[in-house]
Amino acid sequence: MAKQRPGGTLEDLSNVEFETSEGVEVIDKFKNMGLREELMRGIFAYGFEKPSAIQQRAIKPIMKGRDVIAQAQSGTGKTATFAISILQSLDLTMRETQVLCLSPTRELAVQIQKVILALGDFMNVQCHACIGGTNLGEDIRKLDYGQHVVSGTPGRVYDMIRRRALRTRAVKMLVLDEADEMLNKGFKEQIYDVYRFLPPSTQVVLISATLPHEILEITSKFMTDPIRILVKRDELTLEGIKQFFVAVEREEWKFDTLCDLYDTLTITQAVIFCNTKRKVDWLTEKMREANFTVSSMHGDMPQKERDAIMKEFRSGQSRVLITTDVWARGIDVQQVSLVINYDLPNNRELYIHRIGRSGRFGRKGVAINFVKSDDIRILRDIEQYYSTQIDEMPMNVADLI
Amino acid sequence: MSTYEISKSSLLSLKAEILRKQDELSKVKLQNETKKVIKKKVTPLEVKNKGLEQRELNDINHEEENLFKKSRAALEAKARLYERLSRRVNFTDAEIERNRRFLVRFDRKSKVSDLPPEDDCEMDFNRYPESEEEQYFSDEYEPPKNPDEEWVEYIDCLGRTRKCMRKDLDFLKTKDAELLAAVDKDENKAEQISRTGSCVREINENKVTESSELLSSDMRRELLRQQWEKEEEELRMKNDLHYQDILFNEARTHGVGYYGFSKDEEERFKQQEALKNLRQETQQEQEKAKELRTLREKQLEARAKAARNRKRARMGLPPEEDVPEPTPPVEENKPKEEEVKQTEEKKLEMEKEAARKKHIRPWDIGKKGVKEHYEYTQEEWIDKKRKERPKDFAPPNIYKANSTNEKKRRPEKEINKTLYFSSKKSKSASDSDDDDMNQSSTMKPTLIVNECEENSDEEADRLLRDYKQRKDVDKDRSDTSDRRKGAEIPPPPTFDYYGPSGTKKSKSSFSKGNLSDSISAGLQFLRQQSEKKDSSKKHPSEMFLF
Repeated sequence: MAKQRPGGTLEDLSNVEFETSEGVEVIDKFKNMGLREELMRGIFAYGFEKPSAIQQRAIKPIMKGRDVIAQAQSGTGKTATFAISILQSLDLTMRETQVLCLSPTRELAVQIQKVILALGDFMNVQCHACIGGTNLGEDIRKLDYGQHVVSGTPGRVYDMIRRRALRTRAVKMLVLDEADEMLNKGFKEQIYDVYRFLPPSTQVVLISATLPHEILEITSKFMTDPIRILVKRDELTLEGIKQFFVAVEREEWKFDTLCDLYDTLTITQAVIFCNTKRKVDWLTEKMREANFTVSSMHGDMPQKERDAIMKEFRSGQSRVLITTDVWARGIDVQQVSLVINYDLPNNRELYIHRIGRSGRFGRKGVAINFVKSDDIRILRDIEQYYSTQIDEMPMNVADLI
Repeated sequence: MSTYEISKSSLLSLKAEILRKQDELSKVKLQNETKKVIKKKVTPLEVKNKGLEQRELNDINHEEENLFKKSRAALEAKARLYERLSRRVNFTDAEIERNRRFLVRFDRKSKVSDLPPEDDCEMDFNRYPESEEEQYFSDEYEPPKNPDEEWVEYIDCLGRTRKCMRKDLDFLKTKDAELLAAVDKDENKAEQISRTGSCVREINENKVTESSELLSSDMRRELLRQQWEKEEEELRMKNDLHYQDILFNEARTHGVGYYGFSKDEEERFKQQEALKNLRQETQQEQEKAKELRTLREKQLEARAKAARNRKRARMGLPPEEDVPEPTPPVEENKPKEEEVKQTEEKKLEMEKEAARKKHIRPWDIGKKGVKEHYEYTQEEWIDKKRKERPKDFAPPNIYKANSTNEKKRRPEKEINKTLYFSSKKSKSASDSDDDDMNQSSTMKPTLIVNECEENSDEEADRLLRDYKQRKDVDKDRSDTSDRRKGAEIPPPPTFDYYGPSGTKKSKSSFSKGNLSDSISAGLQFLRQQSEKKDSSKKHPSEMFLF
């Protein structure tokens, strides 16, 4: 266990092994968690019956006000974990922002807002999605009206704080979803900026499916004696998500393979990942030329278009989505059962997040990786790192979906 | 003209040869098949991760078994219905009326079933002359002579796809409607029928969406987008946002307890009130039922007691005394132990909580209400400073051996740890001191020691001098000496009391002979350290902020 004591923040933690905290209580029924009645109703209405492993462990400590670092496999109810804890700790009679929840993408922030509103439906909770690409005036008006919870992306949230539209006086909890991404180089400074506006010793909750060591190292800068609930990396892949690869000799063949797979894609819903926005545009164009119906989404599109595409995909109107890593983390669409890595992801963490778009909450999923011969080495590395199994794709892959 | 003469025997042998080959071929085929089966087992697909089978088993148990059960139940219900229909002989008029709707004449069947099957067939055909057309069950029909005789498909009210001639379509549709009405009427009849009812409803729903399905997907999408846009426009006007407002046709399965509240605020409030009232009603009912039950039990008990008393009175005994319910003896010991344990845990938790409250996060420093810097306790400060100082700038151990006031400043020994902040000397500490004394008493005091004694009133100065002394010894390495780190840090006010440094246990037995060796080694170490520091220079600057 990592040593955590006053003054210990100056220690070099690079050689310390982080483990799950001792004595984490496991509560295997929602009704034993001491939740308010309206919240319980919301939980059951949303479709949860029994708490998942992470919910059994993490909800109570967060409710108690402790700083918590929670890790769990993709699609096992992490968002609901902190949403339930947030809703339990709210004072609904006070119309001020009490919880701030930051996530790396706008779509994810909106999704978290949705989950909080769903679970808190019987509580009549107010939750606002504070994201970029939307009307500033409207944002200010909504915040002015009073929101119990704000779920947003760091840039717009910081903007709102500086404009004094978002008052942080009553904030008692900061949640960082996809924490490893949020504390990565690109986001860390923004998180720091927001954090500087929060009252000292605000409760901090970190959530992600992947928590690399270097991220755990820096948590001591803004957390106090956190409770850690961690997963070893060889237990991070889900048995329910079968992983395959298709070996192609040349890049051009990937497209033909994808066309061959199209019928399989449309059995339910599928997400195809490319590494760049340009490639997404190119592949979408090419698929449409070949008379396949696909939709696509990436960060360079106007927010309105992004919204519409998300709605279409969520409602099942479109079945195949070509996208970048903007979609890799956290997005939950129940019907997605197939993920295709048209390009292999740039790091091991992204692989876990991408394939985790399928197989949501105990459902089955399939991930297919397109690999050129020199990519196979990378794939084998991923396979070994997570001690999982990635086989060559069988003919009957459609039966597995 | 043929030049070959074909004899009977040659033909026979040819035939025999063919047979032999055929036989061989079939054998080979069989073998190949078995080989294939064996090969299949080796494919990587068969290699499964551990725990996978268990999981699949679970899946089957939960999902498929339920499905099997359902279909089995449906089939059983059907079988029961058939049996009842075919066994019953005395039908009422209503039943006969109903039975006419079935295409199988169950009333006839029960009479006929004893006859040989051939007759049965004949009977059926006689009964249904039109079914002759169905004698050849093939999909190809003769081309229709007129449009009325064209075969068309239709879906009946039970969702079955059927075929009939166009001219019969109207008639069949009216029949279908009759059946539908009948089905709707006997809703309480059997579960099977209720299920067909739900089928009907589904079909009706399908009809509603059918028109939208005829649109091209692009059109439909466009319409939906417009609809969403309108919804969002409405949301902009709205102050209170709820789940139903932002659902936007999402295809998500909710729990059974899900209630789609109205988007209208007033309506929503009413619905919630109604739900609340219903819930309270249920709770009250439950409570009432419970009370009634206990009351009944009590009455029963009282009656039983009265009966017993009557019996006793008859036997001339006094009535039973009221025995107070035996209260379980309070176990004093165990709960107490638990209590003690709990209070202890609580205390520990409180202490931890207090420590957490006191803790200041680096990112919080400088915020309103937080001190500008982290406030160290005395021990933390000393600890920190000692860690920062290179070992080589600590006073050499010979000092400790020869000057009496140095003795007090030797808390390094592990045994002394408890003495760290006390001026008192424990016995064991003095013992170990004696050991050192013995070792070092064999050497003569050096110049350095004398210097130190002269300036012992000012520690910082002494350390500096100590450092200068080394420089003299090793002039060519003066460049490294610019990085004198530890010694320059001003000591805390209590420095005199707690004494300087150190983690220098290992040096306690240095002899005079290898002093210069150790100095040069020390300088080397210093250089290494400074190089190391350079390479990881980012670290200190990152310490507080990032």
